[in-house]
Amino acid sequence: MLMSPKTTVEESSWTEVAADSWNRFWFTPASAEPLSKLRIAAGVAALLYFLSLQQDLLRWFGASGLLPSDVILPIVGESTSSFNYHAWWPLHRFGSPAELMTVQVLALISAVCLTAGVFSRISAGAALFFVLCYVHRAPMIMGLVEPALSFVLFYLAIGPSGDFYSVDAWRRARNPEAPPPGLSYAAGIAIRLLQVHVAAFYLMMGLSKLMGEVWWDGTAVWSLIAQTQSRPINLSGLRNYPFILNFWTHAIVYFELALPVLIWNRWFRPLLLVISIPIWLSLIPLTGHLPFCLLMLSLGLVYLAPEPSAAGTAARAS
Amino acid sequence: MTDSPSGSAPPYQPPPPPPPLSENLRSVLSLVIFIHLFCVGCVLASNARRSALQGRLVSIFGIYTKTFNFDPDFTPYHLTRGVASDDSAIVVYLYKDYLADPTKTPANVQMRLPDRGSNWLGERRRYFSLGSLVHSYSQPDNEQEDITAGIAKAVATGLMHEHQCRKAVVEIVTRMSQPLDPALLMPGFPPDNPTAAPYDIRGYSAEVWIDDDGNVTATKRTATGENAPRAEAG
Repeated sequence: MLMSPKTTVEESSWTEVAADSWNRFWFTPASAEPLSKLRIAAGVAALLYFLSLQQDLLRWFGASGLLPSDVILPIVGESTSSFNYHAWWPLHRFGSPAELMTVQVLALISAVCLTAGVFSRISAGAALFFVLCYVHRAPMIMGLVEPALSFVLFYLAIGPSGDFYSVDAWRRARNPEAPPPGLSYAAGIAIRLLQVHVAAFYLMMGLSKLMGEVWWDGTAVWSLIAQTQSRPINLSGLRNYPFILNFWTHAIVYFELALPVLIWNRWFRPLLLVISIPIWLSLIPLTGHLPFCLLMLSLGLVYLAPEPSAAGTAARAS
Repeated sequence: MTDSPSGSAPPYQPPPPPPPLSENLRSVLSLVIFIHLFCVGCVLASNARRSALQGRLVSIFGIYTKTFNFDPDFTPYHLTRGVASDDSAIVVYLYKDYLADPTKTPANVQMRLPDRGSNWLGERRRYFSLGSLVHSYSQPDNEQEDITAGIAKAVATGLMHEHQCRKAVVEIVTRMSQPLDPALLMPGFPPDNPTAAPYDIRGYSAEVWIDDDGNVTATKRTATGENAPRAEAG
């Protein structure tokens, strides 16, 4: 097929612009400082998550607990595939109190190491492994925090999240021959992956809410308050202020739908990050999802990464 | 304290930028990033509902997305749909004798799960998730008896071992929520006490017992009067 020279030139320039934008977005070296801040928050969230399992560890995961493996695996087996994604995880083989406590202690150690920044990449990978161990052992009792924690830990294991505010950084600073932390491609890629994933996650949460009538008529917050068994505190006194309940409901949905679109605009970004603070802090007493809300609030840090520096851009261009 | 040889500290030198990535490495990384985000996008886009195409794609990517838990897999990020079944507790009546008739014999132990834990860290919510799952799969339009019986059997067996009992009745009790406008409450539901007994709706119920040979049997109770253990089919 023949094409006019003009068309070829236009297509070539369009593809070049797209490729250049792609490369600039993904392959600009960045400082790992936002990742390091996020590492601390993710470590605390992982620690809270593991601690929340402590009391009922034997009851949920023990061989003679409420959900033994031989009952769980057929239930969670994929009907469309012969491969069971959950079967090979070690907690399906560990059921004694000693084995479960060993796994739990190792999980807690990994979360503490991640928070403190001790062998940060390895501890992020280890914390992810233990989160996945619990998730695949009994997926039907998992909540909101596990999927978010999983992808955050995954990206923290990619980027050098121990470059700042960590024991790793302190050890390096004591070594006069070690270079200071610089710009890194891995940090840039990890931050960009987090930014895109978090935006998609917000969109998913916002769209999920649009399926429920209560999120349209402004009574969703009341529905959460009215759940007498699972609410952490009793806010039913707000029944007399329906406009507040309506506003609170609409604010949650609009924020979750707006963030994935507007966060990429440098003017709206600070505004959204400021709004995220009351939104997530208010969801804690409303829903009780403390580790999840704290983690989502801290994920705003990945959008505070500085714009690509001149040095980084020069490195990429050269 | 001694000065440096030059008499003053050397000026701060920012670290040099890393060497550029090769074209080949960038291409490989671009492909990996694209595939990863495509998989993540597909599973996130199909969390609330799933079309046949999305279901097929999710099953293809499953080995990656499910292994790393990128797939929320219908996790309730909507927080609430405003229905009463959000809070489904599991009530278990335990009997020492597996031949005991629950209609005539008082339970030796009665438990309402969650019986411990905090609402701040999600400990109690795990019990509600399990109760909601059983409640959901016991509805006539979505009935999956193998799942409900399997969970009832597992929960009852675990608690029977915990309390040295041989028979259990497992019930899912859903607590209805009050509407925003108390005037909409039906008669019999006290507006000033949202935890009163009328708000608790009994749903799925099953009897589970351990016979003399150690076999565990579960039967769904389809009517209130059907209580005695039935002979095992087959």
